[in-house]
Amino acid sequence: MRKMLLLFVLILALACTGRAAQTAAEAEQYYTQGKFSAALNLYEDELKNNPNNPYVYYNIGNCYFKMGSTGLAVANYYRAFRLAPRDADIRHNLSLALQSAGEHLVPGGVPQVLHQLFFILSYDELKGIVMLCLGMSSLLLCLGIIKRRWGKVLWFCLTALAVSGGWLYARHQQEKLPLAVVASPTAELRSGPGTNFPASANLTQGHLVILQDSRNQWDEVVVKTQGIQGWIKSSSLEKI
Amino acid sequence: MNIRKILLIGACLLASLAAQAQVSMTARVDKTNLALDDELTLTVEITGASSNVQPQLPSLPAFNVYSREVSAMNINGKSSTTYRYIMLPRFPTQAEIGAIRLTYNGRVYSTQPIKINIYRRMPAGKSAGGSVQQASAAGSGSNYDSASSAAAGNVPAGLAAADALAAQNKNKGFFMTASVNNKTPYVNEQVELIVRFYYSRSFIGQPPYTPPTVTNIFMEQLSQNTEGTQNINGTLYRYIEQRYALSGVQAGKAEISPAMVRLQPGTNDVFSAFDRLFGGLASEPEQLIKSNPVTLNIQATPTAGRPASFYGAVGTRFTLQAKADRTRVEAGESINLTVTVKGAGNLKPTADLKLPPINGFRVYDVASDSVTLPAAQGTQSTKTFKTVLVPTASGTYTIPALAWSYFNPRTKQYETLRTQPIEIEVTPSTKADNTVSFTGANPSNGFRRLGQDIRYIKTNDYAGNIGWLVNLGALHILGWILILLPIACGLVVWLGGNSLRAKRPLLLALAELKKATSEAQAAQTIDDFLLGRFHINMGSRQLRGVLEDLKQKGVKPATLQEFASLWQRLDAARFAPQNMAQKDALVLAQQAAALLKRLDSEGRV
Repeated sequence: MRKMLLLFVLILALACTGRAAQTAAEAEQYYTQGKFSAALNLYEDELKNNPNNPYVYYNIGNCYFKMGSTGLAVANYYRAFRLAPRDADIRHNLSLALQSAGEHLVPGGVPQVLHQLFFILSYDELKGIVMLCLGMSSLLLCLGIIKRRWGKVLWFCLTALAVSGGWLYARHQQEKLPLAVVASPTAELRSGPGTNFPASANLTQGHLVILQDSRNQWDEVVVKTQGIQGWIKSSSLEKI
Repeated sequence: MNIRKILLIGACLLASLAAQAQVSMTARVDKTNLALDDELTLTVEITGASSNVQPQLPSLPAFNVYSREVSAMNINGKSSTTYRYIMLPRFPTQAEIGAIRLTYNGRVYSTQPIKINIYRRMPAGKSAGGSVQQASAAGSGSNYDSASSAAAGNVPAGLAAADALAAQNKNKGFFMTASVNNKTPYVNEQVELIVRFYYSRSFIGQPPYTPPTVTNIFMEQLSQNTEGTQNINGTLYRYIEQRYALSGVQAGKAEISPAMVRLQPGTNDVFSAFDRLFGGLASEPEQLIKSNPVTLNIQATPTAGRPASFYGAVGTRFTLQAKADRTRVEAGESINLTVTVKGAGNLKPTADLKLPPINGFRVYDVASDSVTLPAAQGTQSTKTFKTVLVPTASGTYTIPALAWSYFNPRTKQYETLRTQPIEIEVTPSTKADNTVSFTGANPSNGFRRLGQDIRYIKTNDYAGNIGWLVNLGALHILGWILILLPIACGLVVWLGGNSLRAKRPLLLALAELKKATSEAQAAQTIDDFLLGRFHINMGSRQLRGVLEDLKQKGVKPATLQEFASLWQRLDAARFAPQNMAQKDALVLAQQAAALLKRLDSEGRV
C-alpha cells in the first residue's frame, strides 16, 4: 500500500513537471509569434503555481513591455529584481523599462558598481548571511565567556555580523518601501483625494511612486524622481 | 551638418516643391439670374501656374464679352492669376457657360459648366445678385480635378443686409458690407468673411482699401478684388468683393473691425454699364466708407470623448492617406512617409501629427505643410506631414495604421480616420560602414549599434538563490536563540562562578589521572589538586604537616589514613621510579580518583 502511494506521488510529480514544461514551450511559441497577450495569459497561470519565481515575473514583464504597457512591465521586472537581483537580464530589462519612463534604477550619484554590490544578494540570502555571522559570533562569545579568552576569530565574526547587519537593515528599508508604479497611460496628480481638487502634474506610465496614505480609492503618493506629493486614483497604480 | 538635418531639409524642400506643383483653376459668376439690362461678371482664377497661361473659354452664344481684365499676384511664392470677363446678355434664355479649359505642363484642367438664367425682366421673387455659382478644378494627379460643385447660395445670409444699407445710403451711392456665414463657430472651424464695397456712382482713381483687423481670429485672404453687379431695390450697384477665411484661436468673443475705403466721388450721375467707357468726372469731397463690425462667439470643442489623436481640426469631409515612397529597402536606407489630410476646413492652425514609436525604425521629426484653396463651399485644405523612417535591421516590418481625429461641427461629434498599415520589407545592408578613420583602423571594428530592446524571455528554471542561506535566513527562532545564548552563558558564569571554580581542580585532576602512566605523574596530579583545592603546597613539606592541614579543613580521619598510605607509596616511587604495568596504573588511578573525590567532598576551602 505504501509503495503504491509513493508511486502515485511520483507519477503526479512527473505529470506536473511535464505540464509546466509544455506550458512554457507554448508560451515561448506565442511570444516569438508576437502573440504577447496569449503568452501573458499562460505566464500568469504559471505564476499561481510559482508565486516566488522571478523568471515568471520577468517573462510577464516582457509581455507587458511588448504590448506597450510600460508601467505593468516595470512592476513585474521590479518583483523579479527583488527575488533575483544578481540576474543581468532582469537588471537590463528593468533599467530599460524605467528609462523609457524617465526613471533610473541606479540613483543619481551612486556608482553602478556600488549599486550592483549592494544588490549582489537577495534579501533572503542576506538574512541567511546575517544568521550565519550571528551563530558563529554567539558560539565564540559563549566560549570566550567560559574560558575568559577572546580570540581574533571572535572579533572577525563580530565585525562581519555588524557589517552584514547594517547591510540587512539598509536592504530592509528598500524592501519594505511601499512602492507603486503608474500603470495607466497617464495619471493626474491632484492635491486631494478626488477630482474636485486641482491637478498639479501629469504622470506617464512607468513612473515610480512611494505610497503614503490611502482614502476612497485614491492613494497619496510621493513621486520618487521629482519629490512632489499628491493624490492619484488607485486604479491608475500597480503596487509592487 | 549631420544626416538628420540633411534629411529634414530634404523633406521640407520636397514639401515645398509639392505645394508649388499643385495647380488649380476656379471659375465663378457673380449671379446666376439676371435681366437683359444687367451684366454678368465671370471670374476665372488660376493658382500654382505661371502667369502667362490663359484659360480657354467655351463658345458663349448668349453673351457679348465686352471687357477682360487680368491681374496677377504672387504671395509666398505661390502665383495666382485672375481673369475677369464682363459680359452682357443677348437674349432671354437658359444659358450655360461650358467647361473652361486650361492646358498646363501637358495636363488639362477644366471646370464644371455653370447654368445662367437670363430674363427679359427679372421676375418677382428672383434676386439678381443673391446667388453666386462657382466651379473649380485642380490638378496634381489626384481625383481633385473632377471635384466641383453647383454651389448655389454660398453667399452669407448677412449680405441680405445690403438692401437696408443701400436704402440708407441711396443719396451717397456708396456703402460697404461685411458678413460671415457662421457667428458661433468652434475653435479652428473655418468661417468665411465677405467684405463688399458697393457703388452706384463713379469715383476718381483707385480708392485705397483698408482690410478689417481681427482679434482672437486667424485670418487669411482667399480672393481679392472680385467684381460684380447687383440690382438692389431697382438700382444697379457694382461691387468689389474681398473674401477671407477666418478661424477662431480660442473660445470666447472675437471681433472683426470695419473694413474701410477712402474715396473721392465723381459726378452725382447714376452709374451705368457704359459710363465706364467714357471718363471725365468732376470730383467731390473725400469720403470714408466703412463696413459694419462683426462679432463672433467662438465655442470650445467638447472635452468629453475627445480622442488622443485629435490635433485641433474642425470641419467636414476629411480624408486621410498614408504613403511610403518605397516598400522594399535595405537596412539603414531611408523611407519617406507622407501622410495627407484633405477636407473642407482650415488645417493650418492644427497641430502636427505625432507619430508613435514604430517598431524597427528610427523615426525623425515630422515636417508639415498646408495649402488652403478656395472651393465651392468655403475652402479646401490639404495638410501634408512628411517624415523620414530609417529601418535599423532587416526583416518585415509594418508601419501601423495612423489615427487622425477631427471634430465635425454638423454632427457635433469627434470622428477618427485611420490609414492603412504599410508593410515594409527590409533586406540586410550591402553597404559598408562609411565611417572615416584617420588612423587607418576602423574605430568601430565593424560594430554599429542599431538600437536597444529588452532581452528575451527566460525559458529555463530559476536556480539562482543559494538555497541553504535562504533556509538559514528563514529560521527566525534560531536567531533569537543565538542572540540569547551568550547572555545565558554570561549569566550562568556570573551566578555559578564560585562553585565552578571550586570544582575545577577535581575535574582537572580526574582528567589527568586517566592519562597517568606512572606513579610520578599520579603524585604530581595529587600535588596540583591539593594546591588548587585547598591551597596546600606539598613542596618539601612533611606528610604529617599536610595531614594536619587537611584535618583542619574537615577531612575525616579514615580518609586521611588512606591518603597517607597512598602518598607514602607514591613518595617511594618518586625516588625509585619504575614503569608500571598498564593494569597497575589503572588501579592506581582509580584509587587516587576515589580518594580525591572524598577529599573534595569532605574538605573545606
